[in-house]
Amino acid sequence: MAFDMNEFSPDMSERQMILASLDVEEKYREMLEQYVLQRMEMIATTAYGESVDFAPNFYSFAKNFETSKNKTLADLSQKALKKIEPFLKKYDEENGLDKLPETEQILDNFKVLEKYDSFDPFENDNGEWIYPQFQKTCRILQKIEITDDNDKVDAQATKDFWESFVETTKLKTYTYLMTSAEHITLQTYCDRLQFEMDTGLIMIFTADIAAKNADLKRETPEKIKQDIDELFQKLEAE
Amino acid sequence: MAYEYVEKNGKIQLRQSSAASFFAQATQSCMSLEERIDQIEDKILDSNPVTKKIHEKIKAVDEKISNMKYGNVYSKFKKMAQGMGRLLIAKEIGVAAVAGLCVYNFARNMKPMFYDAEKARQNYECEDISDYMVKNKSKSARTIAKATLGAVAASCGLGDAYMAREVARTGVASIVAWPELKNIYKTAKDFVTQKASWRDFTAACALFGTTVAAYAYGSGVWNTADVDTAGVDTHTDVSGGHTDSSSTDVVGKADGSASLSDAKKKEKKEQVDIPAPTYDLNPSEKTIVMPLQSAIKKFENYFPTDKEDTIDYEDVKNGGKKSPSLQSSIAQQTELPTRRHVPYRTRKAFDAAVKKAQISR
Repeated sequence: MAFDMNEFSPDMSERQMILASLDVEEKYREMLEQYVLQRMEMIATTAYGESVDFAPNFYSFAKNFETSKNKTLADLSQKALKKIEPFLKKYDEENGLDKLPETEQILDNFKVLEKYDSFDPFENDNGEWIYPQFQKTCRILQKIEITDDNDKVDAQATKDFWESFVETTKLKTYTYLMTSAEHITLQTYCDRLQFEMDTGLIMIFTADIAAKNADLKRETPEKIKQDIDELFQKLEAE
Repeated sequence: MAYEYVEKNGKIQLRQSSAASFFAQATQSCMSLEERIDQIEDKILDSNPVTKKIHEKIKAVDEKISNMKYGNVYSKFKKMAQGMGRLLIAKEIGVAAVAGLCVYNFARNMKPMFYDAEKARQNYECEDISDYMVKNKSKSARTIAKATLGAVAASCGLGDAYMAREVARTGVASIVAWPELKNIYKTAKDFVTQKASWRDFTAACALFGTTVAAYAYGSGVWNTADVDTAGVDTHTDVSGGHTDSSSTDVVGKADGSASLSDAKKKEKKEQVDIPAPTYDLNPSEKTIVMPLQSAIKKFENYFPTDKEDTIDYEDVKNGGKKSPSLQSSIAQQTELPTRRHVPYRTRKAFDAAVKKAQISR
């Protein structure tokens, strides 16, 4: 008897048949609803829902249940939606979505931004920095070493970190500038990229410190900020 | 000097996980933006090329990071968020589809073992899959445990790591003893010997996955530190379906602290009262998990793990009749193959001539 591994990948129609044939008891649905209810309550009534960054996701989540047959869930959804609104507004402001340009402008932005796909902020010509504003960031990145679970330096991970960091911050720059109402110049691009890189470094340092200090005290964020400021000052002074 | 990391030969040492969490969050924030653009698409006349471009861009970066040294850590963070996305989809398409997710997760994890079993059978090392599993108890137990975690993770929208810790704590043994799992063994065996169809097998898996989910949610054991059956020493004999208490190769400690019947009694007792699920994450987990557990409705659009892991947006509960929200989901799903297979054009060198001509510094 031949064993055909392809058998493990049923086609779409068969999948639908499988799903349709399942007789799932109502209590499971209730349990899932209960979980959704709990999550909704967190968004609607706690600080968990007060997130600018995740406001679009929370909004989509709450919107799904706005007209739920479960009255408690529907009420909570409406409450959550109301709560999310100001954060959503702030999100739009922060990401340039409050004054969206015409689609043609956005598509033009894409064309300009595509030119920067292989942009190298650390490019230099015989030791001369072509984009000197990235010098400081480069110095910090050069100092970073990535360690594994045993706190041993991993050379490959360190090399990958550098590349991924640049790619990710460039992606963030791309998504921010794509909705720009004004023409994107090299300087606009560089300024935004630098902002994303600085913010990114602070986020990584913060995450690292937070991971090492599970019981973060209220004053710790201030301490972290102070430490990072000192770090930057030291690097600039070098 | 205040900053502790600028030591050790003047280097700043960062953990892989810190870097990976940043990359996952950064990519996810870009997806939040895409989500928002979808929400306000009426403001953009022809939004399709806009969102398509963003999809391409995010996917390209995601692929790049996934293939790097710490891609595994990055993927774990992504999976945490995926769980939440699935939960959202579940509400839209019904619990049956969640069970479907269990099927594919479970089957995917079991697949390598089936493959090994078939190779062993062809080499006359075993008679069939059940024989193979009996002869390789330790491996079977590990595979089952892994597959179980995958199924539960898909059902409950929780991260694999959290799941692994909690399931290990509550004891894999009690889960292994469930009749649904025995049914999977039997059906798997029949499937390999062509006595059962793929459909029979997946249906058995689905039933199991749903049961595990119900157990996880319903019993509330994940918050009960004193329910510790990790030491139960038991093994399910796939051919006969009975338990072999003499075996010691099941995942978990083998101290024989509780009997199987005790575990069953406990399980039954716990299922009487069904409290709302709560999560007692420790502060360090909250730091990482909570932001990532945001609602990412279309996460799977960007990060399909593989073919089996995608789901059908068919409203099975309505007999194929699709709701408006589902229609949009299906529309997105229809677009997926093109999005997924758009090759990322790697531009190796920046054209210096274009730069000089078009970019003013």
